[in-house]
Amino acid sequence: MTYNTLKVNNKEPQSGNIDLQISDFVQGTPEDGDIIKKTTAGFESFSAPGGSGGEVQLMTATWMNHTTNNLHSTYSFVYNGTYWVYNWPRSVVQNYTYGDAAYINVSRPPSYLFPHNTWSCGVTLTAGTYLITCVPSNTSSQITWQLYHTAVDVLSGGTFFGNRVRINPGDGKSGNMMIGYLNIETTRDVYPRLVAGSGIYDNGNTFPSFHFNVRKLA
Amino acid sequence: MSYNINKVGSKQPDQSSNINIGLDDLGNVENIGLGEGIVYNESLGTWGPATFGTGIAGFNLAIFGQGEAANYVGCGYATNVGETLCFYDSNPVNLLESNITFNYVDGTSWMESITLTPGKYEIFMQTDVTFSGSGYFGFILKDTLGNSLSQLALIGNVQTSYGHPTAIMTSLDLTETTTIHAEITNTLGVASNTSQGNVPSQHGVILIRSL
Repeated sequence: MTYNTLKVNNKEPQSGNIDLQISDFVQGTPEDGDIIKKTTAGFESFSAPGGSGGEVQLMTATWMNHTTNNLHSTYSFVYNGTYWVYNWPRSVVQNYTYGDAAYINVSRPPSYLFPHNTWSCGVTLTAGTYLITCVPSNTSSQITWQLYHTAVDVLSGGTFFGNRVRINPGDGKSGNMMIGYLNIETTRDVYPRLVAGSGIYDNGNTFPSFHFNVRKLA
Repeated sequence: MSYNINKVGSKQPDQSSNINIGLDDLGNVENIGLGEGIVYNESLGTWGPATFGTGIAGFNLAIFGQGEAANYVGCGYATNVGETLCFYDSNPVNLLESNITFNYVDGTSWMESITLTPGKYEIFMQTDVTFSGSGYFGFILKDTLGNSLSQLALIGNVQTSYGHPTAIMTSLDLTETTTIHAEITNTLGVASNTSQGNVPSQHGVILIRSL
């Protein structure tokens, strides 16, 4: 005489025990920070959105170099209307990812601006809504900065978004944080651009600080 | 002869001796509706339904000032001490329209004040102005009664003689609807409003987050 072995969710007992886990009830493969929702297909995991009283940081990429004084450029860096892409050492990139947000790919650099292949000038972002903050830095003369996005490449200009800031090491400062809200339907290169200024900005000078932060809102 | 029929969550096995159960078949999980998530209720000791926002709605922020060019003379305010400091945006970001109202100078995209409903807010504000010579420019956040709501921000080349920050960062806990504005507090070598050009509109920015 034989008896059928009882199963739960098609799991058979091992040593008389059926070990059930949340993953036995939830479809798909959850990622860090996911929540569970009920759908017509059953229970599925989703990236956690912002709550009514709080905030979920889905993705952040930060470049900071506030103490190491890395060399910025090995040659003069002069604004002349077309030569306005700044670069900074990517060796100090800090990437944090949360939820199911896509990893931020560091933008491909234009080669003649990059004597060093670990330097960067922006990020490539996929479709979505982003909050971007940037505190730029230059060590000589005066630069006015603004955030830009482009579907082509950073040397093709693009469209500005967010406020301008002016950094003038010689005579004090204005407020110097760029804030950009960007809603894009296709991939864009996003970068801080030199939009005005005069003189030589860096000529083998040290690079005191730079902050570039991307937060994916949706 | 009889056999006990094993059940899980009051469900009996099917013909293949399998019992299909879902999360909400478990004893301490309440009924969950379509689209609802699951959260733990400590007082009841159960897992119950919760509605989560989607998209950007939960991020509770507003941004005014996105780099557009507009001559400051259009706002109608002078650049003297005691005057209102205006900001420009023809299409501001406002994910909190029920809480935040931008008040404009009539017929323009120049904003002269902000009305906030009761609640907690975090506000960041900065700008730049055109100088006619060496000097500084200070501004502060105030309510309609003249109460200061933030620290003073000071910009300009003489700014280095003082220890002020160059931007305003403050938190407000409002118990009643309140209208706030930025007011000019200090000037030296600041160009008149007719000579300001686009600098204030392109540089001025306000970020507000509801807490």
